[in-house]
Amino acid sequence: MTFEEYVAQHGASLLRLAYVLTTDAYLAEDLTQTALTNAYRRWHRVQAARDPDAYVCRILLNAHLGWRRRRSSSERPVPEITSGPTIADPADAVATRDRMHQLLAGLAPRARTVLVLRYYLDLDDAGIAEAMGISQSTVRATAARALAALRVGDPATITGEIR
Amino acid sequence: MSEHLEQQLRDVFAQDADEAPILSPATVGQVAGRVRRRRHLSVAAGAAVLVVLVSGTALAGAATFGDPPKSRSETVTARYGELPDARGADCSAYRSAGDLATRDFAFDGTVEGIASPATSQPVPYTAVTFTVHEWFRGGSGNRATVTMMAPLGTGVYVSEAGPSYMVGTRLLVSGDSWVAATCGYTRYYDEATAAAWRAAVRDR
Repeated sequence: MTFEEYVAQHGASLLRLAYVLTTDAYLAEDLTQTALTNAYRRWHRVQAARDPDAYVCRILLNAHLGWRRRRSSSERPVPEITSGPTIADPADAVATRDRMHQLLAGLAPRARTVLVLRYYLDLDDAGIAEAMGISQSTVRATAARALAALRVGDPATITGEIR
Repeated sequence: MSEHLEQQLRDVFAQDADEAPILSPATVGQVAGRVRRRRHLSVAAGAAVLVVLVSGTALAGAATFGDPPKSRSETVTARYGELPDARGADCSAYRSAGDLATRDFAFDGTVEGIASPATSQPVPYTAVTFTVHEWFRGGSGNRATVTMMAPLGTGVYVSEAGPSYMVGTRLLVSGDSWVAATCGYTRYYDEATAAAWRAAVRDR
């Protein structure tokens, strides 16, 4: 597969993953650009990889986590979230999603990335471990802590419907 | 409870993905063709590919691969003359190539790499590395790294006025203390201007 073919086939999915990770269109574009630039520079390795898509995905994840480390001062503050009664009104779906975004933004970048890989890409622990270059036990522990934090963060968030 | 939370995460991420910027098949094909024709010009064509891909038609004709712009009305794609400057810089200084005598350095080079600008800066400058084709003034060697305003397509400037260049863009660059000057002192490459810069330095 040539680089151009790869971009044609996988560019959109890479951009979607970048957007889910960053929730910012411009950062997602920048992140995808960086990942593909790095992939192009070592294209012979990408082609030789057992799973080229996973290889490029890992490049993107490394870039994402590297950026988050370097730009920690620019991370968005998350306002204190108070628990409230569950409102069954479907009109609250958008607000519920926003609250979930706030909770996710409050997680450590690595924890949020684990959740994205598990619940967006549907990777198992082994796949997440390989993509992030960490152990499966670390994946499990990180995911468990992240899910616990979400549950404790705002019970209302996890009882409403997200549409 | 746990399954409900997990389902909510799936829903949120799926909805986020649905809202991601879109790459059209037509744009992908167009860009892939450009890369095939011009890949030798770019040390990291991937950057250019994606800048063009994700920006759709806005950047589709931009400077990277050397095709002439189709319309001067597409300000982002203008590839001749001075770079569009950002944030209302004072552009009264540059009058002619002769003004280069007031600058520390001047060269003809192709963008090889662009560092990520710090988004916390009000006006994001970034380090840009060039493959230097010709030094007109003040330097030597085949590479140079200068500080420049971050280009369009690096996140913070995507939808704003600002310099428009990317990996593969050939520029005429001049400035002081290894900071590229704006307002005409840094321009898209064209042979006539390069000759004028060459002559201006030679005549001094």
